[in-house]
Amino acid sequence: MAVAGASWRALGTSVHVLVTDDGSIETARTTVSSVLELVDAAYSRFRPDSELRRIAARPGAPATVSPLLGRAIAVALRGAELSGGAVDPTVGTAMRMIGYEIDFDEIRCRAGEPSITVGRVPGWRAIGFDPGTRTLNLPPGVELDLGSTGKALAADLAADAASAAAGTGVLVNLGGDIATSGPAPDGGWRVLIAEDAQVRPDGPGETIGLSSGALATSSTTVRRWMRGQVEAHHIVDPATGAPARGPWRTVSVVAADCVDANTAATAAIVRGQTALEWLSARGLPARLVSHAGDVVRVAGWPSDTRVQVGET
Amino acid sequence: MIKRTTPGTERDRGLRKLRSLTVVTSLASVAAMAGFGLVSALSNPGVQATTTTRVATDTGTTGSTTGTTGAAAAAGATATPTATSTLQRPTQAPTVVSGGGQTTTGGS
Repeated sequence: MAVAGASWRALGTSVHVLVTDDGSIETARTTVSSVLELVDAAYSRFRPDSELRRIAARPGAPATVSPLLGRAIAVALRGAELSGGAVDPTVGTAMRMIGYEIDFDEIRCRAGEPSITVGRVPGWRAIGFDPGTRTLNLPPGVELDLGSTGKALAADLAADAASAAAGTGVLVNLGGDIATSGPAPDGGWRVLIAEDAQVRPDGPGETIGLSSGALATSSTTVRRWMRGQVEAHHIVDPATGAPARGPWRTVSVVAADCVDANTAATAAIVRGQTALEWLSARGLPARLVSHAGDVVRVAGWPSDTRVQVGET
Repeated sequence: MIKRTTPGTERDRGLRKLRSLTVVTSLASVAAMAGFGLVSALSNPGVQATTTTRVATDTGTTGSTTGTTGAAAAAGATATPTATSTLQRPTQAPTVVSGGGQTTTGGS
């Protein structure tokens, strides 16, 4: 048996699937593709016919959501609570105000947009959600953006489904959000740590072995665009409604699943200086890159368990 | 020999039986409440960081391939958020490996 892979684009990002048995790659690819189609239909912010968009069109009206959207909302609320509000699904309006209201490929083609007007987001506690009945109450003016935890959830679901369908170990990489399920290859899945998920994996750089769990990277370096005279990126600080301005440009985190890894990585970007202590206290192995290019590793990220400052 | 009872004796016997039944019922109620409380204590996590939802598959997708069936199941039947009070660390720490990677993590 040998590791085999397949790549394509979905959800506005890259998809890379690996399997430990090269005979099962087609089953894994088909399964992952199907999961992503379901995810896109349930909570895409860019598809006008998605369930999330249809609910948003009726502000203030209680809605019974599908199991998948309900799961995504529950996961987002958990992430908001466990991150102390640093990762907040009510950044939808803020994302629209800074110009991220269409697929990113289209944003880059636009020019001459007005300047940014932002403010503190409504906050996740404004969301009324009963998981038992899957009833969602969104107050008028509150727009959901499940993009952060939603993509990670998609990776987790796709990896589990593909592993079950193919009967083999599977890795699913959605634009740098990596989930694994089933047995890993000897030595673990080999993952190149970069700031851009489009970098070729066999290129130079730090490579780690991932035997289980998940790995996610949040970065302010890739999805950037100009809004008036301001350069924006897609990680919003809920406290200001503006793109996060902390000291870290890229954070990678390993956790038990991709949702937790992504939540921690995004929260670290937003939390700024306090991220090191916050990640260490939770025992989440992480690698942080400052705007100056300094690399800091914490909580068992391989090569050193101590904080190292000044490495480039 | 036939033992005869007076109406007063019958009444006293009935009252004693009623009293004993009341006591038994009360004790049974207390026991039931204690049992219910124990079950509640065991089944209530105390701190619920998030809501736990087991959801059914009703995505409407009717794919014919194994992959699509598994996908629908994953999007529904396995959709159970973990009610944990903290972000979960990995069961195995990542390791350093040499040579090239098989995939890349990074911003996108």
